[in-house]
Amino acid sequence: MRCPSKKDWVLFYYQEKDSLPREILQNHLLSCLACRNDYAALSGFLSRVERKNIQISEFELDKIIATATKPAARPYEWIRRLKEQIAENLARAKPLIYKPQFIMITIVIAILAAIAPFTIYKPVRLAQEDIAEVEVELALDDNSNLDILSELLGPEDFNENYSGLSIA
Amino acid sequence: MHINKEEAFKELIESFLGGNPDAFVKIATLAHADILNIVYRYLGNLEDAKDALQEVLIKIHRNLQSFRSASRFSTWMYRIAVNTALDALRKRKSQICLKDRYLKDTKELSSQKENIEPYREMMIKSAIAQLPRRQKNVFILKHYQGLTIEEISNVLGCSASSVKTHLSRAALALRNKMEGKV
Ligand SMILES: [Zn+2]
Repeated sequence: MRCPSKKDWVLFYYQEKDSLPREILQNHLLSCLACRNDYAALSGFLSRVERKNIQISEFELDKIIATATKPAARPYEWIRRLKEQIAENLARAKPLIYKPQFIMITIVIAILAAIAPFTIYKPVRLAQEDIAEVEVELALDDNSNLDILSELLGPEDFNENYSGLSIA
Repeated sequence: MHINKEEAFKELIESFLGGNPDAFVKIATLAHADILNIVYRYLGNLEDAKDALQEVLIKIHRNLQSFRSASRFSTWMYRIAVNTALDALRKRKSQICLKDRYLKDTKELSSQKENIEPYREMMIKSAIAQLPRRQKNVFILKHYQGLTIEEISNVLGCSASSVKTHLSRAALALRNKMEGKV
């Protein structure tokens, strides 16, 4: 049998398994001197990595719990909470950027944003043009009306009464 | 985490949500050792670990209302502990400063090498502090806290195979770093 990987031995030490069942690894240790030596070194090292639990006194724990449950003891709590919430939401939103749906939606919004000025504002511009056209026509009508009036009244009377109005 | 402890948490949470504030004191008392043990492994000293423990208890107290009993309380608690410890590490000026501090400590200790245990512990602390974040997370939860691969994958929100890979990388990296030093 081929020697198991280093990963297999680490998981064997922690009594977890990867691809190989525990019994196979145990049997391999009995039959392979190289792996036996390697595993002895690895397990020796890991067992020397201190595992003792950290402890605090009951008094200290009571103090910590009392502080933790008393919101008034923490000034500007709401600012901290708000900051935390924003940070959390940002962290949650981050992976969204990498999703294809997000990219698609962004592209669609960008295209719409590029097209929108030409489609949404066009009717407004046309309406304004129409108003201007009517205004010009009305002005021209006014001028022709003045012409008729001037002919009817004669230039003297006309100038006397309507001298403020110009004739195009 | 022990199943009985999980059951105890469940009952206490129900009691707390039912309007009994004393139940939180019991939750905190039951949970504090596990939380302290985790944050200490990240922060490397008891004072910072106590601050982080307080921070974790504040977050639990504040968010217990929104905790969904569909997930295990211990998984949720470990996640908060890991994130709080990582936050505290980020708040420290930089990881380099931390490394420098450990190196300074180890230099001081190496001058008195006859006291081999504290020296070795300091070297291991330093080596763990220098591990990449994911390897550090997995190693602390497995080696010190004894969680299963599945529990770790739930706490960290990654796949079991990724947990296995990071665990083996962490263990081998630590061993390589410590080789010939202790
Ligand atoms: Zn072998």
